[in-house]
Amino acid sequence: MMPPPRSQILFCLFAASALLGVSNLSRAQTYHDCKSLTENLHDAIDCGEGLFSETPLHLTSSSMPPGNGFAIGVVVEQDNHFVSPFALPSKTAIAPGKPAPRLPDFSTNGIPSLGSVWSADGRLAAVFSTNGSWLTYGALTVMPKGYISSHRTDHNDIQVSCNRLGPLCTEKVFGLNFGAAYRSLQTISFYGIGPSSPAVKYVFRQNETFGSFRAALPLVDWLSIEAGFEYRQASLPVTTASNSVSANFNNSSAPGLTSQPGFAHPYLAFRSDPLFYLSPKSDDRDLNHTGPLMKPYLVFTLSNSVEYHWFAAQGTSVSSFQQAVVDSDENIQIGSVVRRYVQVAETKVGVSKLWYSILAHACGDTGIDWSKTQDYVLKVRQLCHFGDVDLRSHIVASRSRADSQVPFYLEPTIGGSDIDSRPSLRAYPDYRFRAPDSLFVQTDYSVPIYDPVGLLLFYDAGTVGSTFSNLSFNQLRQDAGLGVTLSLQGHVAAQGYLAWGAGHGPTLAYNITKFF
Amino acid sequence: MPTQIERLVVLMMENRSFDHMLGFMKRDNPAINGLNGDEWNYPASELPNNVIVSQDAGDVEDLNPDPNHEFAHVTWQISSTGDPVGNPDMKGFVRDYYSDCKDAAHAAGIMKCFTPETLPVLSTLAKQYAVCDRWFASVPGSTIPNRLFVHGASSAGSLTQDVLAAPFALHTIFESFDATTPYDYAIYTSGSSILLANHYLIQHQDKFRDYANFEFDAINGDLPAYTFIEPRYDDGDGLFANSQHPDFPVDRGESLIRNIYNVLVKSRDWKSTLFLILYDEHGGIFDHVPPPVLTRKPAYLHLPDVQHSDPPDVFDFTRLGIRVPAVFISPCIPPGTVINDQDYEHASVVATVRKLFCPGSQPLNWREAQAPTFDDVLTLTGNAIRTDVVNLPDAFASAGVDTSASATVPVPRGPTDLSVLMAGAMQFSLVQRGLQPPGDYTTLTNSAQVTAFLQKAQQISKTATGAQ
Repeated sequence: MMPPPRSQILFCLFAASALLGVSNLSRAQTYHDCKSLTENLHDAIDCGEGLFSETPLHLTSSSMPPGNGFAIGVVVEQDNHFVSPFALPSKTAIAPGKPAPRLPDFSTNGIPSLGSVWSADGRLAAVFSTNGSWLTYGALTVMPKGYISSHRTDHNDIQVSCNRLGPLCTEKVFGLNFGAAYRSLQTISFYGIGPSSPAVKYVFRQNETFGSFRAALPLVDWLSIEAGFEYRQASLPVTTASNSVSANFNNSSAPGLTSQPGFAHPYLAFRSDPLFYLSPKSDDRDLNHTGPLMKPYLVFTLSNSVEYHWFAAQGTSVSSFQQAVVDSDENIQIGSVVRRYVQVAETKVGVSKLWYSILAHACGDTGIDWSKTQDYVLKVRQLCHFGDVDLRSHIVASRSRADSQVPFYLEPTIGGSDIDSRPSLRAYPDYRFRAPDSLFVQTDYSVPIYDPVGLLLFYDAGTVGSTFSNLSFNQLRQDAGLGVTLSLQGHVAAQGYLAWGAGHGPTLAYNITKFF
Repeated sequence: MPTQIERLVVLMMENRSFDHMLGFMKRDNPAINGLNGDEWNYPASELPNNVIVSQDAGDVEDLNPDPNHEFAHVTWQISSTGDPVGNPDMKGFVRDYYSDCKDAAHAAGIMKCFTPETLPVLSTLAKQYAVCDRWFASVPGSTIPNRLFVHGASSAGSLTQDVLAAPFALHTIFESFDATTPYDYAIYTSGSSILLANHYLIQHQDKFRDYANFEFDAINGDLPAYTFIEPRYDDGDGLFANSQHPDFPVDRGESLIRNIYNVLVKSRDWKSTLFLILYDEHGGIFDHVPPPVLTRKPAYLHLPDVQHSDPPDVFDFTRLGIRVPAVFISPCIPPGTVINDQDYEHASVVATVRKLFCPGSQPLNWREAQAPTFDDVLTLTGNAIRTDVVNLPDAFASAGVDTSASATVPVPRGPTDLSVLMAGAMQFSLVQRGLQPPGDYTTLTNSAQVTAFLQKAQQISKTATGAQ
């Protein structure tokens, strides 16, 4: 079955965004909205969002690797505990009017427990795609109840609640996660290996079975250690299509093509996500009418991880390898605090008035009567929010013995989105560059323009290499572009964008975030 | 001339009476109208002896189930004969609690009180700064009407928790912080506030700030002229309720108070800041002082009346509720101050805020106009302003008589009535504005769902406001 053309999917995505954007009514996220589905278009949109976010049962388009058409599936999930170490990181927002991104609330009444020892979260999912790809996924997280409620004191002598385990006193608690998945992917793109591979697209099919066990222990609120073991077995069914990998490559140009061993995959990771603020101290008075207009108010959430992976091929040593992964996502919420008041009389006309209108909007005030010259456009200590900057990088370095090679289907990729739906070089096709080592950095600026729709500006750069020392700036690919984001319950669920930099004009593409 | 209050920070806790929290401070300071230790109530009918106040209030479990504090019950608490005006003997608390819990011995727990030793943070602040022993709840009723009074000197006709339209309809002091005044305000919440549903504030969602940012904002001099702080009303997100609503642990609220104090003393505005700790109502718990009856003064006859409540409990809001703790904290207040010159009530906050920050604007109604203001409590001036910082004891170590309730990681639990009603009020407000609410609040079954509901509702409102 052929997947629908990308332009068709993009049209649907943008159409949905546009409809939300022009709506004077806002959206909601429950099945409740579907009761009035037929009354008007807005209710239909609200209903659509509810279908994709209501708990414990909802639809999803997430987690299907790119290139496999438009996916739709069902998720049953129940997160009873808010202290799971495997929850998505949350961050404090500048103002509650812009809620902090956080996991959707999947709570229910009951607390599934195994005796008196564990409290559990669970998730089951099945997703099917228009091109015949499908995946199933199940996971169970258990957390011991042995923690003692306690507190600790910060540098301002402020007591903070925490959960204590011996010397550790953290908000999140130790957790064990058991997972299993199977996915059958009909189309994964392959352009050869290396940073200079030609832009000729080949495809292969990939079936994979996973079973995993993870344990995570928060050491402090911003640092945790995680270890896990995974067994994964891939198979690459041979296809005879003229553009298939099996028809055009062999085991030396695509290592792992002829046979796919099972891999025992232990790993160790350190993850940190400290949060801190930056704003100069000031003692501005409410009636302050001179001096600087604003001071910065920045909220940093720095998510970083360092991981070591060992992929031990079973029954053969020619495919075993080790991998180091350094991943970072530094988020900066850009805000400011007003330091002197501004009255309508000072805003004048034209550009000046437009400028103050924008500022007043960013600082929360709407409906200013611009005819009243003594009214206040800005007041001292108003908080303003101007969007988020994300600085991301992802570095993978693989090592294998001289007689061993990293299977091509386990190599990291950059270009479009990778198999984990992580966007990298967005002007390039999905999986465009592939090699044992890779590096990409990117900067996103996003600002809500009409929630759930946001504006996105971005820059990407990256390359791949056969060894880490081969990651050369000479081979660095770069792009930039703009787009829109679509959020569900505070998380960016999808983005559609136009990107330039691949040398063939603008690329119109989309990405759907992987949530599980 | 007193020092001018340039920053007013109000924290309103939940459901504790004055005697229950601070009554036994009278041992150390006889000027306080507290407890001698022989105050008593009639017993539940099965028991022969009257119930005398005791000094053994616990962190938790004394007040489970939640004592009644709706209008009809408060009437019987104030008067054992059901005549709160003619015979306000304050001797019906035990019997009223017995009508709910059906356990005669447990009903006596309504007379249990803390001591300065078991409530060290609030007691220390009351001792080191000022305690007001004549601050009354505005309504002899439950939480929401009283919380509305602290913002609007009215409950918009609401005498019970269940009038979902009242939070939406209320006109508040925040409307007076309009574009004509240079002063600003902020409401710090941990996700929940009845104010989120207000018709005016629902369009000014930017005024709600995350309490997680309070420490940073205060220390960096970013608090506006008027700050109102909501406690956390429910457990959730790995954090604990700290409102002190029975039967949440009192020590959590003590910790909140301690933290706010420790932040404010580091604030650059501390010398001109007044930190006021209030409780919204008595929560059905014993107090020995009869609440006053109000008479509308002729000078305020031209002002709007407060909206009366509908049947079955028609009420004109001319009686105050039962006494609640009120502690004034500022470096401009001498230690050991006792404020009892007038009968303060929650409308006093509205009146004082207007006088300080919205001068020239008109009172909302006669209750506001008649309420005594406290703008003159900063009596120390110039070099006499205190430079000391009180070293507050550790709330967790000393306050909890029973710490077992705090000994486990928080798990999802049923939401408090208050939280659900806040969600209901928010739903009502969205519907009034032609917006689609994020579901039906009557289906919410745990605190996390309530929190998520309120977040979504707030986002809906924010989105709609931005579009208008």
